[in-house]
Amino acid sequence: MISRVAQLRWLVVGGCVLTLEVLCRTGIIAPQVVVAPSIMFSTLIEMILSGEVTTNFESTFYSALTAILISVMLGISGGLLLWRVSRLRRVLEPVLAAYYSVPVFVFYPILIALFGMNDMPIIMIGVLFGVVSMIVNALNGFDRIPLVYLKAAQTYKLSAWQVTYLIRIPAALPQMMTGFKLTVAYSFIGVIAAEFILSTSGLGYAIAYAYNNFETRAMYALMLLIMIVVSIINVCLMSIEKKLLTRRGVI
Amino acid sequence: MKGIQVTVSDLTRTFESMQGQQPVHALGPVSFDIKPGEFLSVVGPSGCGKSTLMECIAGLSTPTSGSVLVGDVNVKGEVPAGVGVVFQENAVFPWLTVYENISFGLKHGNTALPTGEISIRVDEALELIGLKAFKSHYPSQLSGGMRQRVAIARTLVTKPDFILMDEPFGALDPQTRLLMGDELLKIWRATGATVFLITHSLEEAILLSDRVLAMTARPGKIKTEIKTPWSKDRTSDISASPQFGQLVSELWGVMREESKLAMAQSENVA
Amino acid sequence: MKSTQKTTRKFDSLILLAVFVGFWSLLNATYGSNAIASPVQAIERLVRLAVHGNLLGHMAETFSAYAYALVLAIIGGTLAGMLLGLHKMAGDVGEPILVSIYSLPKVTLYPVVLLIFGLGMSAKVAFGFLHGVLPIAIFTIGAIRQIPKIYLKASQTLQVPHQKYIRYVVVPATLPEYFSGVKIGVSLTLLGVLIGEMFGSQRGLGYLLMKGIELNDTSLMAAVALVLLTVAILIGVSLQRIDHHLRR
Repeated sequence: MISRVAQLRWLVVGGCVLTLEVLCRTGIIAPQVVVAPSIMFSTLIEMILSGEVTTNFESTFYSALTAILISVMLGISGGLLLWRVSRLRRVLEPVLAAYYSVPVFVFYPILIALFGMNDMPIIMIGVLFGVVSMIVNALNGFDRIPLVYLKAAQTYKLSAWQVTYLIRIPAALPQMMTGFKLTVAYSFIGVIAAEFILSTSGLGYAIAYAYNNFETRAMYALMLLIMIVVSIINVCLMSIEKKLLTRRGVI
Repeated sequence: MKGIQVTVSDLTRTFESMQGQQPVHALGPVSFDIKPGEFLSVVGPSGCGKSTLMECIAGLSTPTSGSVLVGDVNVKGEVPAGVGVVFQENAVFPWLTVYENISFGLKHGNTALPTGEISIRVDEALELIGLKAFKSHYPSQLSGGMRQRVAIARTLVTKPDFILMDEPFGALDPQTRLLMGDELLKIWRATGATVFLITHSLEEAILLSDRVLAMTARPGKIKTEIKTPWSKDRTSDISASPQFGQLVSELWGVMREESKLAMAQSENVA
Repeated sequence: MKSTQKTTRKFDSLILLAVFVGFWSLLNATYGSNAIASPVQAIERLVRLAVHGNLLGHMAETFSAYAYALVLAIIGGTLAGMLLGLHKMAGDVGEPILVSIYSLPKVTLYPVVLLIFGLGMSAKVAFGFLHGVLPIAIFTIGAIRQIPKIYLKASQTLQVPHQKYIRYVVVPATLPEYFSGVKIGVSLTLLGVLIGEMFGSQRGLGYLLMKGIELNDTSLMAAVALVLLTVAILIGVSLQRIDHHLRR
């Protein structure tokens, strides 16, 4: 049974969508600017059925998933490294704090030079977007490990490597989960943004193409698709997180 | 498992200054023995260095001077084999079940045992602490007292010769504390290990131990030693005896002044 | 902080700078100036831009848009966050919605913004605002929610009036967490403005960047990147200073 809060939430969202629909249908909002939600939806169905979305969708998805994987691995190891070498951490802290103000697209040509003219530069931009969240949250997670766990590890005479994967990482997992949610979001954002600006395939590119060719219906349909996909992924992540936190007794 | 002799000689611990503060002389010099299989308690006011003392003896912390002999091992910042520690804060890992927690030391510690043997030992320990039904539960599903029992079981299952405990029952209510004390005595009798217990509760110290050491305010030194007349088969029933009340008063008489001193000190020690 | 620690920090920063420049030069040496301009080329171009290319004009354009967007984002985000944070029901309903919007690739909304605001300053400011307002709002909600309830009870038993409670208890208690959100908002707002400029503008650092990308003018890209990196570091250092001060 849906809670009252969830009901209200659906009401709010539904209300906004309905308002938008009315405003569009009555012409208050011009169709060249925003298209009615119902039309967005029907166009999307058309596009899916005709198969014109499939290749682009796969391309984006594959890039994003790869980016997420790389971000997680680099993020956790980077976080571990910075946590151990506190000098390095102190020096890099200002860099991490303002990291997102630099558009990482500047690195695009060098990424092409490094990886070639394929999907890798796009994926790497997704990684550049997503990895920092993982590093920062891994760091946070390691910071918060109760000292007593590490003392207990000492009494079992574990090797340093064992302490890391048996204790440090599981203990930091809830915080890393928070980072993971953000990393997933940022990797998608990075990949789609890169496709939008720089690429010839993927959903981002498809939206840019539609925009440049005044195909507003297609454009909004694609945006709707991205919104739906990202929301589904978010809901899955939140339920995984909830399970994790309840088992740990944090919730 | 047989208890082990512990000898502490002229132990001191000073913490270096941090950012312009004075170095803190937290502990010592302290000297005492624990005979094999003896149950020794240490009481003292806040900040007197009891936890520091335990950490030095256990090998979790390196003494600034003096020595610790556990059995025939000179302990210097490394935890010797055969030592089990129960901490004040609950160190039970929340991501493992009760079973996985208790078997942790056996699975990953120095002495790797075959899975069959591990299973037997863990079941024994679960029986001893009375949590057999909660084998597959997660710590978050247990009460505080149960969690501490799991922590104790996890320590015991490696069959240590020397068990150190820092306020293991600190977070529990008084009634549970008494019950846990009885269980601890049961376990001590069954295993014959040497036990070193730190507690805030004077009653608990007198009740459970063969001997009680009372420490001064910081820097902590041994002020007095009180021997208890109880037999090995003691339970919390002895709290009704007049001797108990006498010993507790005696201990408080010794401690009162130190506690006042401690109240006036600042809480600077790590 | 001891003076030896301060010197170590400065020294470490210099080492980091040296490593960065060294790595950059290495990349240029390996992959050639068509892939990435050398540090020297970047600086040369930067000087040329400053003298002949109206660099200051572009910078002024970008940073004025940034300033507007940031002020709006901070005000909007804080107000929205306070509203949703202090009122439980509103917060429970609204926060997940905000979080969902936050994780959408906002660059895909860019055409919508352009269609609504047209080309020019207002589109840039709108885009920057969009990027920055959400994290600030979300973190403000989080900051208010994490105030231990006991503070409220303590204030009530001490007969502290509600206004003073907000000013003397809520504000200091939420400041560190709130500021974490502001940090993110500060960075993302700049990013939003820059991305906005990359499309809908004929002026500004983002526009220069896009020009560089389109013409594969690597020294132009490097020059602009240099300016942006310097600004980012300056912002980052100031934010860290404030953060340390708040967390003491």
